[in-house]
Amino acid sequence: MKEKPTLDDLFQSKKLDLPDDDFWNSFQDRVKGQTMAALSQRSKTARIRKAGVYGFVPVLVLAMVGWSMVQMQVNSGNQATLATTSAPMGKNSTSLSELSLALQDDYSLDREGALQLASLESFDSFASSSFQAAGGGESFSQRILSHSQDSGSLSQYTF
Amino acid sequence: MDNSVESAVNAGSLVSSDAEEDVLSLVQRAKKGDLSAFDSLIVRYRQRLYSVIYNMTMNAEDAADLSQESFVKAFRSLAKFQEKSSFYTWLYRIGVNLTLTHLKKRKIRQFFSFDQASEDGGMSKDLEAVSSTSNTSVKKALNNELHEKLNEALSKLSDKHRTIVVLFEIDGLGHKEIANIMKCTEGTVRSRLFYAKQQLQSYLADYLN
Repeated sequence: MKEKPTLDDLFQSKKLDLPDDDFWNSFQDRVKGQTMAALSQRSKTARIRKAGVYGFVPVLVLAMVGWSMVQMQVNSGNQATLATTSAPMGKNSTSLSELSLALQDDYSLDREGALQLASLESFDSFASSSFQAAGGGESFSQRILSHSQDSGSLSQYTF
Repeated sequence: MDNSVESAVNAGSLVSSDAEEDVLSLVQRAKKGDLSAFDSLIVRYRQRLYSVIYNMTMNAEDAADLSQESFVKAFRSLAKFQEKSSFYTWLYRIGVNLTLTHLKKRKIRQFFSFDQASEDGGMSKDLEAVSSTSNTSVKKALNNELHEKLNEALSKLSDKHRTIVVLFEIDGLGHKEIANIMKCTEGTVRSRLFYAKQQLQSYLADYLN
């Protein structure tokens, strides 16, 4: 009578339950193909990352320059005030110059000498003067325009 | 023991320290992108890894796909392998985790398909497919009916119990290595192994000595 196997005998026989050489050849080819695909994908990803890093630097610099320009514009926009005054006007260019000087005095008085006149130019229809903070930081320019010589009125715009 | 059995047992035995050094140099070359070194690693471990996965899934096609996926995943993650454990422990962990995830998904699919009959039929077909791919000298040595009964009994175990039985009894790993792969204690491995073998003995009581 044939003796029954043990559980260990069955496990031993299980170790032989393997496919043949053809299976392994195709297995090897498939894994090789997939690893090569993974390798090329990895190098592609690395290239993209590299390009991203190197491309990011000029973009960052441009963004910073743009941002600082925007900030400067915002700051100057905050400083800009619009004021209008009316004053009697005689001879145009002379009056404008005088008025500019008078205004400079006003600013100096109002802000306790915080502003200094940086430049003053007179033209036919307007006078342009620029002021700078005493500390040398902020600055603004001022143009005084004439609406109408007949009416003798004067509009002053400060930027 | 005939030559084929002996070579199969040797293939399943633990790698020696010299071989381990050889493996490390292959791993280091593969890390640098040397595909031929990785090919050598595949040749060295493909049979054992496939065997483990096949005995976990009882499905030849799934075993082939999952073992290929394990090698590709290992290749992709090679930079993360810090050489704290041996390469085969790390590779087995990848394979075992992929297979356990696959088995969970399969159970969910089966649960929603309500198709237990076709599942059983599918498993027989898989076994048949494996038998057809096994070499003829080996086939002669096997008692097919008992073999199928063992597969059925193994499939009745939980995934974790079956994995431990396969790693210990079929692949020949030690308790400590299995604990490393399964990320549990050696005590857990021993108790699961004891329980699983008891279950197998009871399922196969009519066929075993």
